[in-house]
Amino acid sequence: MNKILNKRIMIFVGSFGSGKTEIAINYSIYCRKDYNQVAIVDLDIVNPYFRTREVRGTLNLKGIKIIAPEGKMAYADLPLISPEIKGLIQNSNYHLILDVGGDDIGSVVLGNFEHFIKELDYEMLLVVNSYRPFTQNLSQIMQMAQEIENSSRLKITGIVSNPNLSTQTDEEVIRQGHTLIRQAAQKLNLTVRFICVDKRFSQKIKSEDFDEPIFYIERFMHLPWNKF
Amino acid sequence: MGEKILMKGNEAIGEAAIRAGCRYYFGYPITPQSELTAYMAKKLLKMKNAAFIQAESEIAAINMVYGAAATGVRAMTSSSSPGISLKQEGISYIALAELPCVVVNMMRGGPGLGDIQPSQGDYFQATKGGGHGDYHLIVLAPSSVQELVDLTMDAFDLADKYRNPVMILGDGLLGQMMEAVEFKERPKVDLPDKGDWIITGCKDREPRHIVPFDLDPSVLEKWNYNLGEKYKKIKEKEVRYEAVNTENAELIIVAYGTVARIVKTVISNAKEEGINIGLIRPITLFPFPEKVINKTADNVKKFLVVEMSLGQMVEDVKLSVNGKAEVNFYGRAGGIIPSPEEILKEVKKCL
Repeated sequence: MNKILNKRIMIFVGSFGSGKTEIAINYSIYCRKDYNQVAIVDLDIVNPYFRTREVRGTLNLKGIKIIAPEGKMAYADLPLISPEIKGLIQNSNYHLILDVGGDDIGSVVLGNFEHFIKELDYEMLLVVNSYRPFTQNLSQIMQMAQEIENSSRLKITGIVSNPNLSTQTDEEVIRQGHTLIRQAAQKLNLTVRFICVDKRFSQKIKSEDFDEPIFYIERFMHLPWNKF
Repeated sequence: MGEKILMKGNEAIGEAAIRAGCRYYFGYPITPQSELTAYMAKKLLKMKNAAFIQAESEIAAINMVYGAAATGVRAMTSSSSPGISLKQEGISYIALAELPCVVVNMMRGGPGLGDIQPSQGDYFQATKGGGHGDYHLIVLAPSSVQELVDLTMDAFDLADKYRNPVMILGDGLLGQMMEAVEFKERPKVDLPDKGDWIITGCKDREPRHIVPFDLDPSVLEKWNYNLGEKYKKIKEKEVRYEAVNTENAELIIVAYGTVARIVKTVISNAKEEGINIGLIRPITLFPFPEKVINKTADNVKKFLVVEMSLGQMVEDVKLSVNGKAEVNFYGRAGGIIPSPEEILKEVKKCL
């Protein structure tokens, strides 16, 4: 990917199950290649499983700082917000990735930081998977964007196109889904900053197939029966 | 063919219920099934002739289901382990009243308040009654998000067919994981007419009562016998299971739900090491697939039951095998999911 994404604070929001966590993890690894001080913040106060905190070990090994409830509290479904986050938001040495919980409910947590984030060099990207129940058509995607802006009190600055059916994704699924997400982005007067494509398609789907940059995604959230 | 959509297990149950004609949902949120309650709120509140109520408690919710079911509508409630315990009194009443309804339990670690990780510790509660008195639920145990969809739709039909509460017994992992699903066109099923028993206002007819109570023990005994006859019929007609690689297997694993999914990986891992094992996956936990297990025990002399509990379904497997083969057990509890590697290690210990 080119350097469109050079903002110091990158916030991923979106509907429940749109893929924010996987994208935020992948993006933090990508970001770490260029910057020494990278931190990912697990702000998910909605989901009980499949959260950034589950890959703490992997991220630490890659030299990425992870801010998430620790110890027993890592297993809780409580709205725990570390006091460290405010400091990191204001620390200009850090590139910060915020993985926010789903829907407007999950975005509420951003309201807590809104007054000092909005002064800073930030980007808030709406992750959209057009195969999820509440973002399947233009009006639903528009509504989701509006609700998240209302509850976070921050403006969405771009779209991340993440059309997929998990393991049942194929090229046609990506192409069709992306066409819809692009239309939604146009209606919202936003650009699609990048398209997420599972890295298993890296030989089949090339950047010249799309106008927008492709971000190849590796999956970190595994199911217990997956071989890896 | 319907369109494919990527859904969390909990959302998929909600959509399947609505497509099966359920318009009345009563619940109280609890992790890890709250997405189902949230989904029903989002959808049902926008529909006509529908009701979504977040009740003041689980006890209230199940009694709302009881009332709704008595009017003949398709009604549902859902919860996770501790919340299901609270619903047991109502479920027992519904069982004697012979009302059709669907109850979803996405199990979590127990006993007590436990934790919020996946578990299968409620097998006894689900299959042996759960509340007081002599009764059974029909218990369906899905193993994928697509099966959550299909079995939820079947659950409403089975409930109507037998006028019996049906439980979907899943776990937190099935509720939280995401898979692509399809809502297929379903063949029309002939179901008994509800017109002769529902309570919808007695204008121009004799009043009816639905009361799970009779002071005369001979009447109550007769009702119990009727229930017994019904369960016998259910055992004859509704058993479902999946058998994988059971031909020439050295050992058969019996597992349901999430664990069965893991066991499928174990089967292929074992094959790579030259070990041939099979799986019998009960899809109905009540009625339990006794016959197929008993028959399999004629040829295979070793069984391993794997559960996310310290040993519950293993009792039904032992009863089914009836001494014809060795039945071993491996379980993890408290919300821990066994890995394919540790199950394979147990397989090797048994061989």
